[in-house]
Amino acid sequence: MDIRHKRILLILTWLSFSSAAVAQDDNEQVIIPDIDRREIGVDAIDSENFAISVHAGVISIEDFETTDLELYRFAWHVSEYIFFEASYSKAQGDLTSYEELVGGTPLFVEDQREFTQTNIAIGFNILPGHIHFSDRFNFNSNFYLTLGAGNTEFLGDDWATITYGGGYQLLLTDFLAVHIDVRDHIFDRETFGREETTNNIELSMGLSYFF
Amino acid sequence: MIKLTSYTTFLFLLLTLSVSVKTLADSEYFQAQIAEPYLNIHQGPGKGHTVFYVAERGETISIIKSKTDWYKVETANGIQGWAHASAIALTLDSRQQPLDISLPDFASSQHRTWETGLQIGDFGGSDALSVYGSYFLTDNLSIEASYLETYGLTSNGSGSFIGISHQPFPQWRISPFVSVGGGRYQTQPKSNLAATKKRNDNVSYTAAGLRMYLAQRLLLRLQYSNYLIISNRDDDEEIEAWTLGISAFY
Repeated sequence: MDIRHKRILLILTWLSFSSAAVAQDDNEQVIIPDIDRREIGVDAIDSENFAISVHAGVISIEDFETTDLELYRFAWHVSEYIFFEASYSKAQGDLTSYEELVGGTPLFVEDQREFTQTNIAIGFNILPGHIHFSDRFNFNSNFYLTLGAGNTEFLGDDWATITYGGGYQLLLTDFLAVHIDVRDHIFDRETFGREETTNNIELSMGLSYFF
Repeated sequence: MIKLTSYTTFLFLLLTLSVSVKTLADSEYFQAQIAEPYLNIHQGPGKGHTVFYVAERGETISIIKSKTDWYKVETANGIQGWAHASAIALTLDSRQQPLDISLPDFASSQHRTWETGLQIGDFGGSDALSVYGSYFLTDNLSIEASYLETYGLTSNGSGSFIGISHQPFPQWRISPFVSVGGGRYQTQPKSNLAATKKRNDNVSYTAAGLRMYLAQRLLLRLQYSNYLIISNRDDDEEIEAWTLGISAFY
């Protein structure tokens, strides 16, 4: 719709409103309702079912040493017991023991040692609690377990990964929580010829924000 | 070290931002009056958190926020705690009407707007992992977008699809559905094989399955899909997939 049409429409609307107002003036209202009703709908109540978190920690990449890890997570709390979460984490694998001992040309280039994981999990809040640091400070807490699946990109390939773990959440406020998490990422890889199952255990600590 | 500093800055910003947002939102809350003999107030948003205060009939409470099925309330004498939605639904608003709060149940699952879930299974002998989201146009008809990753012995793959799904009997607890759609599927041979190129093909699919209502917002979803990979090689490839997953609706 171009501007001219909009203008015409606006004028028409204004005209119809003003004529209605004129019509109303004729029959004066006898009773003026004096209601100061607060019309806030139930829908306006703020809900906090989603959380984003940033973690830092360490991960033991099987055969490739233990390295620093950064992790980003998004969670949807479906009920008080169950939540879904999607995580993305990044770490850099180091030299294998073989490479350390034998030396020479490394088996993999740096880029291939980048260990990135994406996974989706379902979580269960199993032990809700309340922590008292002193008579003034007390916080809600949760112990939870997670089970999920995802993708690990490492050594130039993608590997189907099962992820399970648990964590502890301490709610500093209703919307801010500290997490301590342990996860094991299990995947089979055939990089060294035969298929082998690897366990990659991750320990992280982070802060989450509910919105 | 740089990384650590940037983290701290980020967290600090997040913190200040959230605090300022909260103070802004503090101004006015929904008021409700307790109509039942009492209202249990818990320390946290869950049945496992202890009841530390009991508000009485006639008291007015402010409803500050909600988290899952729990509402944070403040009593007239300034006590803050959490009450379950089923209890809040029995309080009255300024017009003496019960609050319009419904708990997610089987009935609401029939009128959902959004559904999302994750599924694992088998894709023609490969492991499959998929996520999907649906938007319901009516109680029966939905638009579905999904992303699939497959992990095989010789190759991995990933695909994005969009389709339409029909659920003829949403009123059944175990309810069948059928879907059709299309998308793109990328095949990526494993790196330890003699270098073969990545392939990117168009795909059409038909699927059928069952949804089962579990509890609250959760559904179990079993799906059989038949993918037709339209490649420019000699023959089109047909792949059968079975997946099982858990979904939530909203």
